[in-house]
Amino acid sequence: MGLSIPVGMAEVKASKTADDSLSALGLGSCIGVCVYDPRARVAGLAHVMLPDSAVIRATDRVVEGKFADTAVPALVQRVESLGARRADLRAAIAGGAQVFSFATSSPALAIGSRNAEAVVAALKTAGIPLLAQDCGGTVGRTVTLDVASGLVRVRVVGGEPVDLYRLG
Amino acid sequence: MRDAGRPGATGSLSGDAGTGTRGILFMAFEAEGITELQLDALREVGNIGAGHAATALADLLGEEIDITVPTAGLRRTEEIAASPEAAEAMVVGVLFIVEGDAGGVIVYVFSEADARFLSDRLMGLEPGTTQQIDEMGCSMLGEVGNILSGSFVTALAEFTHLDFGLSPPNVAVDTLATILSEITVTAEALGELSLELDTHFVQQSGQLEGRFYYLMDRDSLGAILGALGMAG
Repeated sequence: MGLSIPVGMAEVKASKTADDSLSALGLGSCIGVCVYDPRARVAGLAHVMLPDSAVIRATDRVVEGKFADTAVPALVQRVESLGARRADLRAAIAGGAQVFSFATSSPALAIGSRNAEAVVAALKTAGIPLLAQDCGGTVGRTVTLDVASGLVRVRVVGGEPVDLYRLG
Repeated sequence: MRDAGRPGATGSLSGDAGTGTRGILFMAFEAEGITELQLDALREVGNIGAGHAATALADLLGEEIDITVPTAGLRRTEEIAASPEAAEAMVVGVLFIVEGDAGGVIVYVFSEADARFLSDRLMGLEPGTTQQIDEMGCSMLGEVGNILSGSFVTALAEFTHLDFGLSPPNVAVDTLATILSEITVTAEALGELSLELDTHFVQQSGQLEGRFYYLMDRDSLGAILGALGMAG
């Protein structure tokens, strides 16, 4: 068994160590964005919190991994630095649930669905095919990406991990 | 507060939280550009609000409640996370959006055992009767949160002379990791997170261990400091 590398909120991590897996725990409205290069066997995972970096102010510290539009380019850069080729990358995503059903239906609080839309758009902009997704619903998920095989697994509360897609 | 201590210190606020309750406050401010005087003012705000909420909980249950505030401070969002051991535990989260002069998010996190205990207690059932937290249980916990939040923001309003409004309770049952993540995301979606108060309620018999979070954004922090005559 290799390492299970935790990818916390707003983090972007990559690995090409065959024994590793990357894992994002407790994804509610957050999205776990998995990218994989099956030829170079390089894997990357971003734990995206919010859709759009336009909300940050000039004085704020920039956390690339926090927003869909900045996390995807940062993720691509990270896997490229480990030898992945952009043209070979493929993606799978999971998360974007609405865990708290807000009584006030403010669009600002429909974060899960807005996150999913923004991640899909950012992957399209980056030219990375999205091969599988498990988004929406009302429960939290844990997403794991296996470096050796590119296998993406999703687990929900109280359940067993389920294979979502093999990116490798 | 007489004994709140310096940042990073632990202190008791016996008496301030009302008859029969006591609390411990722990503060760990890490942000730059906040003065020691401003920290004192924020400590006062946290003490008073949490003390009133603990009193409300004690009144509701008819017994003494301890409150602790293990961490309270200005933290980066990415740093709020459950320990790996606790991450998978099932919890009930009750979330309120605070509106008005100083907005933010208030959340209570009850363990499954807390939720069952409160359900038995408040519905007059024998201890151990409630097995599952169903819709009825969630609704009841939402109301418990409503009472606590109401007393918290009332205390804050009296102290700062600012206006606060509370959303209805929003209840979710999920893992601790997911609930903590949603607290942070909700606060961030409403505005850049700045102040976080993290309180622990402990009932005397040790059966209840709810947690309380109050997160506010930078503008709200400024409004509160301004109201206290402490603006930078």
